[in-house]
Amino acid sequence: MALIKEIDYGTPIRLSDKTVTLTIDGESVTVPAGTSVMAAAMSLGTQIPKLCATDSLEPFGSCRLCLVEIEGRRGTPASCTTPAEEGMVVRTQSENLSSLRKGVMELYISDHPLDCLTCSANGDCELQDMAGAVGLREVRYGYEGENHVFAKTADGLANENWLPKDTSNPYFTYDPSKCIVCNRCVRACEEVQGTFALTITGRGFDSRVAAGPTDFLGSECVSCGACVQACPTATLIENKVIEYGQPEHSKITTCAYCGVGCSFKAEMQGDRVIRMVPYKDGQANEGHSCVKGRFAWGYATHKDRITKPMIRDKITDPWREVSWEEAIGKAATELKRIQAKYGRESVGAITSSRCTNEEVFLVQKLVRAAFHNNNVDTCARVCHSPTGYGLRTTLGTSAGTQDFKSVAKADVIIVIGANPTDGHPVFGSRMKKRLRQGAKLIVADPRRIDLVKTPHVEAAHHLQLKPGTNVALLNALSHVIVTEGLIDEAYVRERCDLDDFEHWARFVAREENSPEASEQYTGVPAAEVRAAARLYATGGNGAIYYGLGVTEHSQGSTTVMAMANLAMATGNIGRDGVGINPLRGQNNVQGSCDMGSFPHEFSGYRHVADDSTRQVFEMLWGVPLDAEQGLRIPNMLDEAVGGTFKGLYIQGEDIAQSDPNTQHVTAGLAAMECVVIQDIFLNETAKYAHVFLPGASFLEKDGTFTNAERRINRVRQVMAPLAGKDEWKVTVELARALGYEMSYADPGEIMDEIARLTPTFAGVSYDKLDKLGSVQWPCNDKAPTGTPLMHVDRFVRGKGKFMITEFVPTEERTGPRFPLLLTTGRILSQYNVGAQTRRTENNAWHDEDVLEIHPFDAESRGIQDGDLVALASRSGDIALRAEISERMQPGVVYTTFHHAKTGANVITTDFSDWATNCPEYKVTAVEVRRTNQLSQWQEKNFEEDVTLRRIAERLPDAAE
Amino acid sequence: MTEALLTTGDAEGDHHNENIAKLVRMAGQIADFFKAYPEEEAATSIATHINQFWTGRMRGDFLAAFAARPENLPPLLRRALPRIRPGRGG
Repeated sequence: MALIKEIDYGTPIRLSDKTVTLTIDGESVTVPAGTSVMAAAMSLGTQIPKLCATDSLEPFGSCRLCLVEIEGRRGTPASCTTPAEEGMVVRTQSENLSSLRKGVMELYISDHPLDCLTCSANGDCELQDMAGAVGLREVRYGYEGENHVFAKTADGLANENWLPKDTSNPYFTYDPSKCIVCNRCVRACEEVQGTFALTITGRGFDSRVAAGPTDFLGSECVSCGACVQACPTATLIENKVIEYGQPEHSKITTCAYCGVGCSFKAEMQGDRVIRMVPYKDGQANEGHSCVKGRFAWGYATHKDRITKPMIRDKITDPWREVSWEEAIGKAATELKRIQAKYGRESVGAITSSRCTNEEVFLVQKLVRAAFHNNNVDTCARVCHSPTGYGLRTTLGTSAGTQDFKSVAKADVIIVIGANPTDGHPVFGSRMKKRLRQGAKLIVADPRRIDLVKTPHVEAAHHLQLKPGTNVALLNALSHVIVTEGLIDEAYVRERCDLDDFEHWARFVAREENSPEASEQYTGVPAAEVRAAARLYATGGNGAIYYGLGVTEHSQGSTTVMAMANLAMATGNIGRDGVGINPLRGQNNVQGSCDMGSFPHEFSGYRHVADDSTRQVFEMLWGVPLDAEQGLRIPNMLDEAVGGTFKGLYIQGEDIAQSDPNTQHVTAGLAAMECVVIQDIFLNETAKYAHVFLPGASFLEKDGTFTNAERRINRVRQVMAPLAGKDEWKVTVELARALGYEMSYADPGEIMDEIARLTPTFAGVSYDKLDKLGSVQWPCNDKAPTGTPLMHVDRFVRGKGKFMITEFVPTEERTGPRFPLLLTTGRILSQYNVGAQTRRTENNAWHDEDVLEIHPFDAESRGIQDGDLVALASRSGDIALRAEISERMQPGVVYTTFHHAKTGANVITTDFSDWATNCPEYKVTAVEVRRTNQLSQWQEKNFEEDVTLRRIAERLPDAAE
Repeated sequence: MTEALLTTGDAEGDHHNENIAKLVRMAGQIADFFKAYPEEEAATSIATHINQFWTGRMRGDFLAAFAARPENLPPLLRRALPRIRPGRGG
């Protein structure tokens, strides 16, 4: 196995209908118009020497190494900045060019350390390669003159030009003494990431790369790694490479954080990961990454990993490490006993959006075929279940309409209830790139997220609505479109159900839905709403991107339908650059839904009551299946508290931390007689478990993840499972122990079964994925290479269905006891419940959850920045530190839920979406006051971190 | 509409009452969405939604609590009630 290296064309490959043909070194080559001479040469396999050029960045023309001769032109133009032209005759080598290039390299090397043998970039240094390529044999200038290389001058004085290393970032080091000022890092930060954290200070010989006026950690730098990747020398390099040296082989796999699903090269030494490098041919990310995927994978080998199966009779007993047979045997015996005693429907399972499609498919199969009920649900219940319901009802498919690339064609972008630069950073960078090119932005969010104003991006409208009023706002936008005659009538007439449309149009045109009338709920000035609606309807391609700020409400499903109405009315579905796009939270949340994890649906979103579908499954699985839908997660917990639900198998999910109203969740868990946890850590939920089955991290897995654009990406095993057993095999063995036979040679065979049973996956196989890199479902006979854009000529459901979306305020209201509204979200460096990121050095950026509060609310409560405050709702109370922030509007406070010890979900309530029971995380009435102590729940939790986590014959350590 | 009518008052009652209150709240939310439609269509849609997403036991509990005294439900739910499919054996 070798190290995978993508070809670097030096400058971006252009897209153009026109081509030009030119001759390079006597060979003819045809390239798209606009391609540089350098890239044209590379497409022939001719590598022109270069240092400042790389094809992720626009050409810059500073290193003067890529000079060429062109017939009929004076001098020696730089091939990176010279576009190829029809009939051009280019020479890349001549005596003259050779001596010019040598001269350039000689100057570079005269101010560069000659420590190649001990340099961390040894083996992967473009400067070294170029010195070799141009045949540099001497440096006539010597090394003694003015330089940036040595800390001291020849006479022992401090060298004023020398700068020490910047090791402030936990993952990479900046060594200014090795910098050749090619600007690649600065350009990557601007063009690829869009953060503009880096700059060049000084001029001429004083030019230095700088992270603003401070160090990397203290700067705006988001640690995405684009600069490190772009650096041709050891100036910016991963600390792991400094520590261990260069990797020797690599495999392409898929990141296990958010729903963007970036492809990475896992670069290895043996079975040790040296670094994760974003893969240029990965279609979701096209060579970009964020701090999590690029750097925060150390949790996979963290000392907290549990690698031995464990059991205990009571949750207050210490865990006992046992064999796999004993642990799986106990789980099966207990679950059978419970079903015998309390009935078939007294047990169930929760599948994980962190796990592969294949693993998830097996768990839901186990429930349906071995538990003989449909009590299976997945964590999408608490995030994007309204997306599934809303988009299916209106358009016919439970998924987003576009690929990520489509954003490059959008003219007006609405971001609603999402924070892409923190939550989905790689997509956020794509979006910012388009915004810098001039697309207009409308942000609807209670909080002033970064996108509202960030370098070279500014929202045309920030509709800073009150939490819980999305539907009122969307209806107001639609009102303007209908009453001001901005409907795309031809589109609606051709593609949508007209009766439904007319009912809807009459409904939104009502006075109560006007921006002026809804201002009292939303708090958004009517004029802003009107201007935003006009912009979306008339500004060209309109694209909607949304997140959990839409779904996690009492009216989550209604909001999704309201967005679909808006997009259909303006003709913004069914082509490049438009659409409605959920930004999915987890790596495989789309996949876990696709795989039949919902209690009412088989894979491919087909209701269990549908006889013909059920018969197909019964035939292949060889068991009768229940036609009655099962319990959803909140129903399971309610029934557990009520005493009718007694056993739960949880695959890689931490409901005790992630689900709302923690005390209700833990009461439910504590009431169960057998809780089986399959996870890589002894998480919060495991405190209430009786059987622990150690899972595997994504680095130890073989399978597929499906991202937010329906893209099925391969996950490839780069190290053996630490627990000694593939996670999917554990599910197979549990099924067998329950008396249901499952048999697969490898995960590829599981995918084959999924393809046989699921029409939208019929054409998917590992062979095809290996050949094409990835495919977007539907992938079948009609679309053998997948479907990047949905609903192109007609809607999947036939005619698009407008739904009437009346605004119904949530029952969660502020009042004298709880006068503020709490909304929750996440930040860039941490991920969801933090089980992964808290076990990495990402804590350098965020080591505790804080409460953002507006200065006005803080002042009236005597709260100062950094004070410990008590945050209380009718569900419970916690204490955390306050951060005074004008991102919030008065009356609204905000926190993250990344740290188990904070317990943000102690506060959230069990109100939920009307259609799917997705919890209303985003609106909780609260009060905030100063305090000097932790809350009772926090004290008890702190104690239980030890008492409910003991492992026999091991010294207790506060696990986290 | 919820707490007032749930006065069974016996020992196991607490959870039962809480459970019924929750089901009524859920049904009420579903009705709140469909109430924008003509009454007949709304009642069918409400029942279909409940039939598709609630378990047999949840439907059974709901029907058991209100079949005998539908007047305790708001009009739209009352109209949807007969169209809710009973759970197997309650």
